[in-house]
Amino acid sequence: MKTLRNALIIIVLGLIVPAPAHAKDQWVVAFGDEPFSLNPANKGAQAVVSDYVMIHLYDALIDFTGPDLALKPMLAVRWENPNPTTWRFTLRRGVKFHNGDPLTAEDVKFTVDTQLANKGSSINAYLGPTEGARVIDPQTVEITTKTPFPPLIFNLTRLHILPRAYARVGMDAFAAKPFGSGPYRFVEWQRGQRIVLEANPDYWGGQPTPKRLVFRPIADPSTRAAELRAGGVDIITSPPIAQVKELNTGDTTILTVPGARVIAYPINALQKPLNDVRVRRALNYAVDRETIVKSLLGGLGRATGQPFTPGWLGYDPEIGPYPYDPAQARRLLADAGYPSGFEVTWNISVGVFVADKEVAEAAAAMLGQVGVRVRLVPTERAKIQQDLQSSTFDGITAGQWGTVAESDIMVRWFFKNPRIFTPEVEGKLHQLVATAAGELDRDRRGKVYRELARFAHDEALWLFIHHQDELIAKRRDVPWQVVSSRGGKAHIYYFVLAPR
Amino acid sequence: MRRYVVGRVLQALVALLGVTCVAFLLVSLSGDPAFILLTPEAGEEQRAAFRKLYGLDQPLPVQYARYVSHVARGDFGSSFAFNRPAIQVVLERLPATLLLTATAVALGVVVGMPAGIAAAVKASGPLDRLVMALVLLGQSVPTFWLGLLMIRIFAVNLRWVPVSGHGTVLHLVMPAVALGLYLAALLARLTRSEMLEALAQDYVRTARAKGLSERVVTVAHALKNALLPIVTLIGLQLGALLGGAVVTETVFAWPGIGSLVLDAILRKDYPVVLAAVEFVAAAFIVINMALDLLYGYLDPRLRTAQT
Amino acid sequence: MRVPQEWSAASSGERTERDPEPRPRSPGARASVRGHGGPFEAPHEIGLRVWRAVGPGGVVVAAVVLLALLAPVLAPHSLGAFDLTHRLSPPIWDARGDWTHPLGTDTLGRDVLSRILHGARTSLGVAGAAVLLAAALGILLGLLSGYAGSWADGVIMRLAEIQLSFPYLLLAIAVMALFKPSLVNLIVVLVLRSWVVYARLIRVVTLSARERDFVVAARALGGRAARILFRHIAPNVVGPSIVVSSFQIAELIIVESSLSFLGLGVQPPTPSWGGMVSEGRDYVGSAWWISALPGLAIVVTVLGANLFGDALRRSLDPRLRVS
Repeated sequence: MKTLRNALIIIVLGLIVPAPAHAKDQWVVAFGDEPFSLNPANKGAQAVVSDYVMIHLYDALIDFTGPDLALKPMLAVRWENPNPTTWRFTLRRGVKFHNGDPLTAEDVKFTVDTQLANKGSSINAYLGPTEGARVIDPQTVEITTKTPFPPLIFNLTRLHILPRAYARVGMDAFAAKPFGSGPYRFVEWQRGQRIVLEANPDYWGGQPTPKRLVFRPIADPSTRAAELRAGGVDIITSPPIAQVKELNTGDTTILTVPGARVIAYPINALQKPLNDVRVRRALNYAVDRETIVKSLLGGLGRATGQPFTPGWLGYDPEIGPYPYDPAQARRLLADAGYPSGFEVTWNISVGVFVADKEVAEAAAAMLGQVGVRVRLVPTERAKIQQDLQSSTFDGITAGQWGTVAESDIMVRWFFKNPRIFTPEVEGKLHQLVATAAGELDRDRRGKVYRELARFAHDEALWLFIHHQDELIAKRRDVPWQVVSSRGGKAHIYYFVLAPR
Repeated sequence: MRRYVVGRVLQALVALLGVTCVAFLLVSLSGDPAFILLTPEAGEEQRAAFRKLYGLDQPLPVQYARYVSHVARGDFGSSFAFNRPAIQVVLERLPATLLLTATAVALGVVVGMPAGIAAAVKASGPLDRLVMALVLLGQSVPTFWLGLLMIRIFAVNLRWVPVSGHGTVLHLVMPAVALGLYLAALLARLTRSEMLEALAQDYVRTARAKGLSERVVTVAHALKNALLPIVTLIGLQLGALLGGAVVTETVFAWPGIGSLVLDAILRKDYPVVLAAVEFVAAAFIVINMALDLLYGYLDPRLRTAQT
Repeated sequence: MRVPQEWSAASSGERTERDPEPRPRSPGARASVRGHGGPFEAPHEIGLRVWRAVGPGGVVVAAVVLLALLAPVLAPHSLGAFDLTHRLSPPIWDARGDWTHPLGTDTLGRDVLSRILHGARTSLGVAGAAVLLAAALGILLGLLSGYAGSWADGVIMRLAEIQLSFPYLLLAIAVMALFKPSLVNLIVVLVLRSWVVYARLIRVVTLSARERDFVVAARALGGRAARILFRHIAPNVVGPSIVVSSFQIAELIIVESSLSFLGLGVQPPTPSWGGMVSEGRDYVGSAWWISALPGLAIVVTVLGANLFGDALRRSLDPRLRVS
């Protein structure tokens, strides 16, 4: 019996192998999802999270960075418009792909051609009316569009430049062992577990730190937070808002990217009684945004009354949020002929945005206090988007706002495609969208978008709530900071994870 | 016997076809993958191209016929998301699932069965009461709650084991315990009630009367006769767990089939969902058939009934 | 899945009307009289018998049901009441707690006690309705399968097999995605999980009852199938069904809470225990009561239902009455 016990103790001790000491030159990052593929030309689908990993493997022509969100040279050192439909880029010299091939104009042309042919993909949408690319000399390339397309230059910050060798290697083999010209090289990908990258010592931008980057998918936010506290990972995205205080003490700390995303809910303004602007305004007056932000978000956000966030083209600091005024809301409802309120459906997302369920529940309860009886319908993300784009939702629906650098695509997404507005409103919106799309001058385009923002506010086209701060939690000893890079404001991971 | 096996296989194939049909209908009707797999930046033009790429623009019956004929040739299609063979996407999660399932079931058997036997032998004694109390507790605590609690205590506060993930033996401890405790409770309860019944049977009385030792009576006679339902339960649980312990896998970020299927359903990656459903259903049916054959071995009376 | 195996051979000791002599399989077992006392029992024996059948589990279940029924009266706050300025206040036994919210408030400043009481209505209501429907469907199909045999049996058992081999979660998600999430759809999802348990159990019970002498005799005498089914076979089904139901209630409460954990169960703002546990899980470090108290409610209720099931089985199943 005694020998048995000793044997058992030895076995148990043998099992408790201490985890390898946490090497400072390796950082582990936990996301909620796993990329679908690390091949930028993956046919069809591409998860948002893929980009967060791919920016370490690939470079783009242009970077989009700084607090003022200015364009910055990356693979292209210079660019110009010889005419409104042509963009000419002068490439950086001496850039090499991870396999040793030099990066030339041919690679840029190859990338543009490949993505133009990759029709069923999101990246294809970024190219808009792009016609093709032309090699002038190994260091110079021109991209031409069928019609003037001002947002292209911003959208190109999302175009990862592929090596021509892609064609030789073949799609499957490339996806299994991808390589680009970025600061990190691919090491391995254990599906469902980890993606490992190592620093590229030959990177044109200098030696990146840390030496190794590991990405882990951990779906449950509580588990992510626990893993960070226990020291299993160094950085996590979207920690649970409930644990912000806990995570801001001891070994861990919280980073915020202010106002990265607009939380607002499009209203189907064709349906009675929401077709009455007084009713839509009443909804907006009935919600106490300040209290929601202060209590449910712990102050990590700001009440808003417009579709754009600070820093975006079209943001107008003059447009404030609707004040909390239940009496005014009741008056407006009575004027519109609904003194005792009405019933309305509200499709919400659950667990997609910070505290989305709690915010909607609180707002719905506030609406209930002025007589608007809300039926909350938690809806799947795919269905929310499908219903919005095909205009088939009842009442109010969840939106998704704030994933791209340029306002162009999102404005079309919310104000042009959905047919949920009365004819006059729709006419005005479509006219504004078209004007902005053809305007080459960025300032003038911004002015059109500001007009659009004012219009959306006055017409109360959405139930506006707040700008949400994006959150990141990290170990205190990880020196990364919020540095914006590649792709714009809402791309939180670009801010933090870019090692440059 | 042979006829029985052939018939059983045919029935299994019918059931599999049924599963495929239901699964195909359910996933196809539940939403358009183009809206979730393409980020919002994509317009209708890109979505139409995406649907065309994967044949989603065809009428449902055509899609179904095409799918079944491909599957019959061993082609489960390509994952919409990963752009790799769907069956490969499913099978690369199999080792983790098997490891967790096997450990949890082993834990359940090692803890649950002896506890059940001990409780039955000294029925209504203090040990029996203790076992039954633990069993009830084990069956009443939701797995996700137990999981979150364990993470808090053993991983964050005590730091005995890693919070989540897969790789070393230590990673296996918490998910296996969370899952195994429930199984142990299930098995302890069933073992106890079956043993109680077996111990009350005539042949056990006879064995006792013959003066055989209590241990021999318990193990050799009673347990052997109580084994049939116990084996059934283990088999069924094994089949169910192969489909993945979704909650456990989600809580502990365990890279098994369950979390894969959950993700695939949410992102409408139909080929992966279908491949996983078919794999799990096939495994379940095979286990069931094996059980039927095992019954024949455990209980000769059933053998004649089957032929 | 959990219980039918225990019952697979259980019916042979059951007493029926045409079978006046109870035939316990072991001398140690007492006759089962399915719930009502015999003519010569003293009142206190009846009380004892009822207590045996009900047990502490029955008391717990009854108490929870009572609390659920009386929730609108008992709950200190109305269901819609919220107060964002008093969120996450602790329960009364904490130094900072007060009697306005005896069990504290949740993330929106809603009263946890009120929500637990109303949540009892949801959780018990959903599980109860699902069990009733599943029992009705499962028993019907089980009787049909066991008595009619041949092709009906084949079809029903194939259906059961398809159902069992289908990943349950996929079914739940698909139903929730296809039709909007609602209590009715949640009940449908739970019934889909549960009917097989009844169908398979009742089939076995019916199969063995069918071969019993009095049934064989009735059939030989040309009795109508419906009459035989309802007069001779159905009574054998009642006991096992009741027992299984109490276990199923317990199981479905857990399933509902797990579905709510994955966001597929009871939808906000309707309170349900599982949903509350899942809502509060991020707060375990700062406001543990939001998830721990409803979690406790689940444990206590499921424990009660399980104990009740055990007690019922002991009193209804003579095999286990080894004294």
